Amino acid sequence: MNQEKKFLHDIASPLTTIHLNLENVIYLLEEKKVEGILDCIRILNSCVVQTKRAMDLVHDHREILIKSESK
Amino acid sequence: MIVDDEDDLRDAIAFDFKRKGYRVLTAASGREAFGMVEQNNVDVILSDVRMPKGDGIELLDKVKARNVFLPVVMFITGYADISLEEAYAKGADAVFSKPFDRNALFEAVVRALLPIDTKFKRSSTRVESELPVELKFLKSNFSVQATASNMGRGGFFTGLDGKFPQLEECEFSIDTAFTPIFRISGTGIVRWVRSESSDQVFPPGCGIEFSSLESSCRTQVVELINFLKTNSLIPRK
Repeated sequence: MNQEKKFLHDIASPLTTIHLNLENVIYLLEEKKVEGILDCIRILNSCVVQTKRAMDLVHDHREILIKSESK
Repeated sequence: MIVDDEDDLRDAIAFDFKRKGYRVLTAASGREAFGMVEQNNVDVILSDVRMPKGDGIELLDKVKARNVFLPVVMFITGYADISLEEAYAKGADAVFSKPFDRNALFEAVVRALLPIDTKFKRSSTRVESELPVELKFLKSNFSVQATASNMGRGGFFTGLDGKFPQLEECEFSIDTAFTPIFRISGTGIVRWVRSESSDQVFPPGCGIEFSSLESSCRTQVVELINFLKTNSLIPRK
């Protein structure tokens, strides 16, 4: 798999997870149940982790592009 | 059952289905999933493709070797893990690319869980056609006569020359060669397209999935599908 395809493949999962998680948090908040708050915190923590992962992938991919352009 | 080696994504998908009242099993690999399939009544599997300890394609092959009809397997894949035509030919009932639309995934699951004789019930317009096959592409407003070379559990391969866009809706009418001869009419959607230059092995054409079948032929088509017992949802050739 070339770098572009690998990047698309790698970043697809964290992006999907973040999107689903944020929607799940909205559903929970709309339900206005107290017990949902702990779930919201857990899910938002997952969002933070996955966002960091996506950012790292973007940084790594940018490094690869810069190196390939400087050759 | 949701199968993905990424815990967070697996949990995010499972959360939504649980919230909607489904009983959800989860597995982190294809092999773990197949073990659970053997011990539980699983209706539908949503599986990632690329996973350590047994990938989704291996899972699909094992599951379909066990029972062509159950459970239904849908793929959620990243880039270039498996082509659409290959996935449908192997027996996948749907394929989604990440990032996918939550509602589209949910609707596909609901549809896949319908009994096969109910699945294709939907009002559709009768196609006035000539034999052997007429396809009318609704968006392009274009009709063509072609040949439906092969039929699977949920669609057919037609040797058109690959000019038609993926996901375009069409109306079709096929005269079968099975006895007694009957006409299959309904609506479908182009799930994949193969051009002449894209494959040296298989002929150009496209895979069309049934969206609905007219009531006049639905019972016979369901009987035919049950008789054929083909793995493919849509055959490759």
